[in-house]
Amino acid sequence: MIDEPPSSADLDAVLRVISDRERRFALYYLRERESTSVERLADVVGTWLAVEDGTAPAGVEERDRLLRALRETHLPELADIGLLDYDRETGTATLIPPCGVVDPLLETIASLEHATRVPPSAEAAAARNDRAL
Amino acid sequence: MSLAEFVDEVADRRKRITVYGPEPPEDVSDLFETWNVTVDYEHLPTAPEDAFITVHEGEEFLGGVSAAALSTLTTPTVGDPWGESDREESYRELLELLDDTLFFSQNRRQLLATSREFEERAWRHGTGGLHATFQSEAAFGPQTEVYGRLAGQSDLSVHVYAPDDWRPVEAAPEWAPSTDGVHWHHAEAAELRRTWLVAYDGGSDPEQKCALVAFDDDGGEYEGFWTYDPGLVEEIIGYLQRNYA
Repeated sequence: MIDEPPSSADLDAVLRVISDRERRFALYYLRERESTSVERLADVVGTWLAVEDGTAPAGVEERDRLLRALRETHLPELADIGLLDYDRETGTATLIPPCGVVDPLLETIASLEHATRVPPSAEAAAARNDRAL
Repeated sequence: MSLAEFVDEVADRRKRITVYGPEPPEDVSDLFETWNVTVDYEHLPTAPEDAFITVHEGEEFLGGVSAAALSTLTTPTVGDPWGESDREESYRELLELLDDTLFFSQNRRQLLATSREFEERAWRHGTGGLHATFQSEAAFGPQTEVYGRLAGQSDLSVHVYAPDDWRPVEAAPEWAPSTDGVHWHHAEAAELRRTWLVAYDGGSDPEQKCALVAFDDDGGEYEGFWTYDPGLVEEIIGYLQRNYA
């Protein structure tokens, strides 16, 4: 669906769908694996986000919430805009290559996910520097 | 039946650990090299400090934790059972993630930290039975005050099991006052000379049940497991009571 140049409607849809962090991290994992079960996606993305947020260990409850969200919302939405195939019968998500404009877009956002995150230690260091000044 | 059979039973359960990160972290593979687990690696473009692991038993997801947090397994903090710290909290979470897993370890500090965690659990809960075996006088010596306080300053029923020829109250009378309230059980059994065991029956709360069982191979390496499985903990304590109490 997303061939270059994308229509502005396509771009709107893509930006809306990937404005959700859980969907983006699901895409980051799929870019590595291409195809995976929705369960595995929930295990990996759930833990990854918990580690990023400093709330690890990731427990089963949060993973089950994410699993439902992936099945009911995230994967169908990503499939609707043509970024992946989602087979509800087998519970398999498969990335659709090539991702056209989305690939460089995700690449850029992925690098920002880390850059915009302020780890607690850096915050503390910044506070110390403030006091020093 | 022997204590070793509990270990054999746990050996049949095998967990699968998958490591995710920008590169295969050697320390994680080294850490689990002697454990009864399968370790796989999958590349993922996380920040290096955000590498993480997931733990599965069969297809069942048990949990996930950052790879960095695993270092507390090899270098845990060993405090008093009545102390509290954030580090102990993260250690407790790791123990829960990796329970019922056979390990081989030369790391006495790790066994001590796990024992402490279970003693602390008993202390916090304050009622019920705490059971511990000590291989020798040398093993019990440093724990004298801890066990004296556990027995004397709570409603816990504290049972210590030791080889027959080692009767600390007679051998070291200076310990007697501080271990007042400890129920001693002596038996001539080879397994008591090589067992490191701490088990807490949870008092009124089965969710609090926990046990550590490890065997010294005489070369300073321990083989064992810890568990929060209420049925298994009950079996272990039942075994001690039937044979040694």
